[in-house]
Amino acid sequence: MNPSSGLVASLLYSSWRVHAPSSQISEEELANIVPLLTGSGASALAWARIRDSHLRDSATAVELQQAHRLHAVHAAAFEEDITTVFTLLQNAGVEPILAKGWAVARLYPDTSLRPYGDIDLYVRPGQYQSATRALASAEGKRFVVDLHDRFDSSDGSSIDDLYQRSQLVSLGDARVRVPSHEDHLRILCLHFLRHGAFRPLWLCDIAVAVETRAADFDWKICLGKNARRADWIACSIGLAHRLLGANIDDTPVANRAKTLPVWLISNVLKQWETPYSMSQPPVSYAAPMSKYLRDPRGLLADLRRRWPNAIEATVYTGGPFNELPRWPFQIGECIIRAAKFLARISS
Amino acid sequence: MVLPPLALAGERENLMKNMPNEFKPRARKDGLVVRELADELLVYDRERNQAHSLNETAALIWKHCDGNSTIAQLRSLLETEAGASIDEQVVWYALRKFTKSSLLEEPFKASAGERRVSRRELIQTIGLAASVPLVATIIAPNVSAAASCTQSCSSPVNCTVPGCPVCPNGGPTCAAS
Repeated sequence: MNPSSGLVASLLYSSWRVHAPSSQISEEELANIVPLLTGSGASALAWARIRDSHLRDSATAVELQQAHRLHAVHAAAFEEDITTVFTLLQNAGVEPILAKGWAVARLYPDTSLRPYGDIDLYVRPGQYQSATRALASAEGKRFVVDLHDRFDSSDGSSIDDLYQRSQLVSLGDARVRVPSHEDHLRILCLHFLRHGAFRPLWLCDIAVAVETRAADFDWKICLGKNARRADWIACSIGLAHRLLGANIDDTPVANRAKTLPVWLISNVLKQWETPYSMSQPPVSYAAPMSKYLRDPRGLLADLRRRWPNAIEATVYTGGPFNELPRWPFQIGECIIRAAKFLARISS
Repeated sequence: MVLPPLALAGERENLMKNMPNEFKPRARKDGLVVRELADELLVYDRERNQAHSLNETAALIWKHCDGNSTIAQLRSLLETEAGASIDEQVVWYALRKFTKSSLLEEPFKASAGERRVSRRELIQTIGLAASVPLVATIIAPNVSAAASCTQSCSSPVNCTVPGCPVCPNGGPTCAAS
């Protein structure tokens, strides 16, 4: 197991629970992984694991506590913003659905444990222009909104199905529409994989969503009809169990968690060694490919940086999560991206 | 204090307001977001983009700065809470901290002859460090929000999520700079 990411996994183990057990991590170990935690938004969850331990007053812990405090005030500010954005859009005749961000933070014992940087909203395609106009207004510009008019985590479900299954929840005095438990867990799992599983916080999201699911949770809706996607989702939940201790007893994915491909776990831990946006493509690339058309110097070195992450490549090419080597999917992703690039420059 | 007889009514009112014993502090509300944690009150100043942590004593005083209570009344409130005699200096000390952090509608101005006590002196006077009102500005480590740079783009104009302002190579996804 990678030493730092293994420590991150052990520190975040069950950190989302109301009574998270105190961690036995040493001060030196904690100091080593604090940059990984603060740089990836997991510091408040780490604080939850050590606030009742002997490390509470250590200098390293104070850093985590400060981050938790900051998350707490940012959460309060975001909650105000979300209600204002909903009112703004509703006044424009748009009924948005809020996913990820606060919609998942609310599942934690305290929303301050789960930071987020934007407001992810889904709207019906027919309402997209109205929503864009409202958000481009003087008032709307104040907010950081990531607007989607497609529900691409679906499995044959339309955005209308997403609306039909969605639920209204309270946020202060307001009512906010969020996806159903089933749709949301599905969104979280596929989002985690599409981004190569690089943030441990996203696996905590999956863990908390599984453990707080409603009694009438419909696994058929969550897993969907496509067997391959269903397996991806099952593997994500299995990872939350194997790496973070999510309780998946009495779920149809419990058996899959026991047979996760070896490369999958090792790749997740490898990603957690650098869980920062800056380390992820395309930001990690030295220069855009178009630059190398004019001046090929540095291309070979940059191609190594562009070698895709095995998880992301498998999902990108629609491959299975089995024990076979990942390089065919990684090559496949390179070919598809190269073809898209060539199509773009030729047009 | 005897006010000059020719002082205009407005000036007189201002002078009275700024005398420590007559000052009725009012906590700022606009532009502030407040969140309570287990043993502290967090206040986020959206206008200045600053966050402050108030300990229990400071939080108690700040919450009761309603523009109607005098310093003597605030002290009395503290005494009731603590079940012990509290020096008025404690309230003054808190108000100075609130002023420094822009947490009051009107700044608290000490009278000319007042001697500013330090935190150490205050602890020596009241004997219990926990009773000293503290307002600490929260300085964050390299905290990352969890925005995931997934916004679609064809130009940087489309990239509105902080931390993901770049549209590399004309898209399709925004990225960090």
